[in-house]
Amino acid sequence: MNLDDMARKAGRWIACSGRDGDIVISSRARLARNINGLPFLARATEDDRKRIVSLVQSALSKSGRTDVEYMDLSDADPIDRLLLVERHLISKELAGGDGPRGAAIDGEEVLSLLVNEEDHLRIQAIMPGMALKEAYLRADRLDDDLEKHIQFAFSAQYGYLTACPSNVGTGLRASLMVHLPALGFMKQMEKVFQAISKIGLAVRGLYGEGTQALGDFYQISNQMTLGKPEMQLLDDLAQAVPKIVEYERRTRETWLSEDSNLLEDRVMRALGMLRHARRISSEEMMDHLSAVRMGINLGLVEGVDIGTVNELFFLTQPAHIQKTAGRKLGPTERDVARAEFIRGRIDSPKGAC
Amino acid sequence: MRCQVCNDNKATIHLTEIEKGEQKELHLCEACAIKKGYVQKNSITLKEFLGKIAEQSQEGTEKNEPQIKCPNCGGSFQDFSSLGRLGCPEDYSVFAEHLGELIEKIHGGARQHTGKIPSQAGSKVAIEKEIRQMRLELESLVQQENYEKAAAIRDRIRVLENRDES
Repeated sequence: MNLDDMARKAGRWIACSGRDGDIVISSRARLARNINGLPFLARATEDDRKRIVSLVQSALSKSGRTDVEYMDLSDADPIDRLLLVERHLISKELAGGDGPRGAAIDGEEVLSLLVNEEDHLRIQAIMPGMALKEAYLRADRLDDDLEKHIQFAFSAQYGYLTACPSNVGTGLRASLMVHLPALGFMKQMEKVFQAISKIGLAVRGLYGEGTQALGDFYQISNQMTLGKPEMQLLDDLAQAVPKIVEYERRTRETWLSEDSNLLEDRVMRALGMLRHARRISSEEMMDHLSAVRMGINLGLVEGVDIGTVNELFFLTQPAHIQKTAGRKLGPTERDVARAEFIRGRIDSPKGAC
Repeated sequence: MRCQVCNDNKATIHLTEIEKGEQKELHLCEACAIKKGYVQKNSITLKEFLGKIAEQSQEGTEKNEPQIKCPNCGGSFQDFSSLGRLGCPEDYSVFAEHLGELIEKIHGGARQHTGKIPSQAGSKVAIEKEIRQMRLELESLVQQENYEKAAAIRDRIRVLENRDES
């Protein structure tokens, strides 16, 4: 996998909208697995970690899974590691960890297999739009292939045994990335948080636990992993979505009917900033892109492609900008390079998916 | 306002349902809302969970309880409470007593996996061993006339056995 190419072009799930794509950006399923007979990572030695890596590599090659390519992250360049985090292909924990560890990623950037993160293995699949089952099935198939060659730690009572008991059972964490700008602007998110936590789901900001909701993006996921079969966990999460999608759409309409000029002003000012700014921080850009994205979905903006906007969210993150520039940049240099990159892209069509 | 279902407790959950274009308001108490499936039984977060463990092990230290260590990885329950991560898969049986209760709390009362089972031969042996243990537990529960728990275990054994055949 060539990371220089990756920095200039977004993966399929980013640039192409899926079902309910105006609001649901992507669906992700993640399975936590550990190898039987080896300690969890908190007590694993350097040798244990190496053994885990080699067991996973050999299972991948024995099962003929050449679609995923293993990358060693233990001595990878920090910008390369950050690039993969910005792409949602690995976690911050894996990027920042120590010792032998890595990730196997497929060319379409749908599947990634994290090795030696919190658990020995984390199998994840991301698909565009509302596609929880499709994403789960992709991860499940890789799990099936691996378990032919690796014996996972499993108990009849607690299912798949994980380093943290909050993942035990199915080991399945399913999550949806949703874009809720109108609910954010109308100060309705508190209500959404409460309603969602009442039905056993969790909401957090874009980059996982403890992050704020940059650009009005939120992640909704199942909290419990034990006691229900995988398909039911997915159904429970899926059931909450139409209500949230409906609430966001209705709030946009209310906003339009009450003060369409205010909404339009917000969208067009944001577009103006993106088209003309000479220096822009990541946070400011996220705000503007969020407004423009909503504007396009409401038919208020002509000539700007939704795929282009979706791509810009990713391609203008710090590691992407530096990778494109071909060198390490300071914060101000990044803001200048980011503004330039946006000006060059915002009005060019994305092309077919 | 009183709960519309039991007419007894105070209604603390207020819902608006739209069915076939008709708007319907519901005012329920928490117990009835859980029963009707509008809300799930409260589960605690990992942070609260670790707080509780820290409390428990603190009590243990005060009472001078001997620290149990996992014979496989050498980790103690206190290590878990400070790290938030277990040492090895064996810890689930070594610390079964403490962990069982906490797992139930995190997972909304669940204490039994009902999802995927690995197909590999080695895991099958382990599952068969556990089924044998579950049968023993089932017998003793029947003798104690604890039929509710016994029925749950019987159902689980059936699920596991059927998986085996397919």
